[in-house]
Amino acid sequence: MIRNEFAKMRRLKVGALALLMLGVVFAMAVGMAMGSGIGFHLGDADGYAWKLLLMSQAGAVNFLGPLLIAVLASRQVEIEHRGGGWLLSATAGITPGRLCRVKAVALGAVLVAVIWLSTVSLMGAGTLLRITAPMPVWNWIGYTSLATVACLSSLGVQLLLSARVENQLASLGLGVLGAFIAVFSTAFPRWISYLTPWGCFSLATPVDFVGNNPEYLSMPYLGVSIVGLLAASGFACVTWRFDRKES
Amino acid sequence: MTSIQAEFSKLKRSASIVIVFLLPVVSVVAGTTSTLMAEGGLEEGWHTLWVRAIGFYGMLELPVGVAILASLVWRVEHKNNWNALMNTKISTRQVVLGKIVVVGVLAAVMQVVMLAVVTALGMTLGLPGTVPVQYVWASLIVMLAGFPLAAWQSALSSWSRAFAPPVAIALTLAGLSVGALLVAGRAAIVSPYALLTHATQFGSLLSGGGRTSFPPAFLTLDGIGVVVVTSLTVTVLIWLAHSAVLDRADIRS
Repeated sequence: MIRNEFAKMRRLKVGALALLMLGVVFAMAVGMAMGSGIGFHLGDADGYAWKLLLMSQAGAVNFLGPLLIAVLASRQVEIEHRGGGWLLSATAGITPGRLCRVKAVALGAVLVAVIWLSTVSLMGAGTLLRITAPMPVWNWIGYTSLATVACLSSLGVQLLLSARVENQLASLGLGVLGAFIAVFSTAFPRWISYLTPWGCFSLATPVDFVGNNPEYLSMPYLGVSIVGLLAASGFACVTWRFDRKES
Repeated sequence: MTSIQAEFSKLKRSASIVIVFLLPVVSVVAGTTSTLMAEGGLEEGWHTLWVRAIGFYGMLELPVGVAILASLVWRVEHKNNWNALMNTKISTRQVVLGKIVVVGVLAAVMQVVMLAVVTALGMTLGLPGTVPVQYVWASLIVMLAGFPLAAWQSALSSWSRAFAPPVAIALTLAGLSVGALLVAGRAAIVSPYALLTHATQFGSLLSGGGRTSFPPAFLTLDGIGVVVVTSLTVTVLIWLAHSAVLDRADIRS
């Protein structure tokens, strides 16, 4: 079944889109870091340049992630709406809920690859730029883990919406709204960010300016993990209901 | 009925109006509320309000909004109307022009809505006077700079029968254009995405030096002239190229 979803992805050019997005996150992060003057801080002993690069990656992911996920989810589900795939799969014994779960696993794998490869490529870029301070590997792993939870949680919501509402305007509209939440909720009280999966993007922000210097923020590993678990449970419950519902 | 009138009449049952109103309203409210929460007030009044409202909107939401509008406008043709459209007595150029105008005008209305919401919100928050005239001029430039992107997204949406791929392309290229503007400055405005983002930055300069990370876009004759000439040239080139490609396209079943 998973192989089937990857075959559909090949036809939908999801791989090409994912690669392109990886390139865009990288280019945008490097562009933002350069715009913030990373070139003047490559030799700073406090790791200013690494902080700038990490903060820029988070900015690019917050900026692009919610809409990318909306596009990927709606594309992967649209094919079932257009081609009568729900019914066809059901006659082959694969219920709509199970099909959604398989799509989540397949698309989730692509998203995880994109987010972790963007981290590795930016670590490489920092090394090539000859940043002298030691690389903050654990800060980077911590950020990437939380961003992965944010991506997978919002993917679940987008898949469910795309499965229930055929009009792709709805899923893209939710993606646009998600982008607003991801970008702007850093300014709101933290508890608001825990209310939606897109809020987790802002919770994952690893570095912010304190005065004129970028500083590492404390990462809410437990809180984001709980949101991730709740999202996974909600996804499982709703897809279980899909399996027991007449289409 | 001209092709442009026909395109506007097709909007009556379209969801495009939701995008046109909702996107700028959410942008302004989100930008302003987050600033009020983080900084406790609008330090430089109307200028802070404008910069916070238009920053993220100009970088991502406006280009993606134009892409969604173009996909919506072409969707009706992909639903069993393609061959009828291509076989009418109206030339392909007129058909394509009709689509460009309708998407461009919808994008322009979005900017009018944004300006209106900023003005209303500023007055509600008790800012003195009304929105500075430089932002009215800036809005006129944004309205014009939306046309090249409307033409480009219209072309993409005519080739793609699916709704989402042109939006995905817009998302990708808008992101790349932000990077290009940050690195290459005004040279990046050959991209319709960068041109629109650059246009949204006109006048967005706080007296304290605080602004977005982009190169400044001053309301000078030179600054405006470059955007106007680039907008008109790129729109006409895309219109002619798109029409020529469609003229050579086969029927679709």
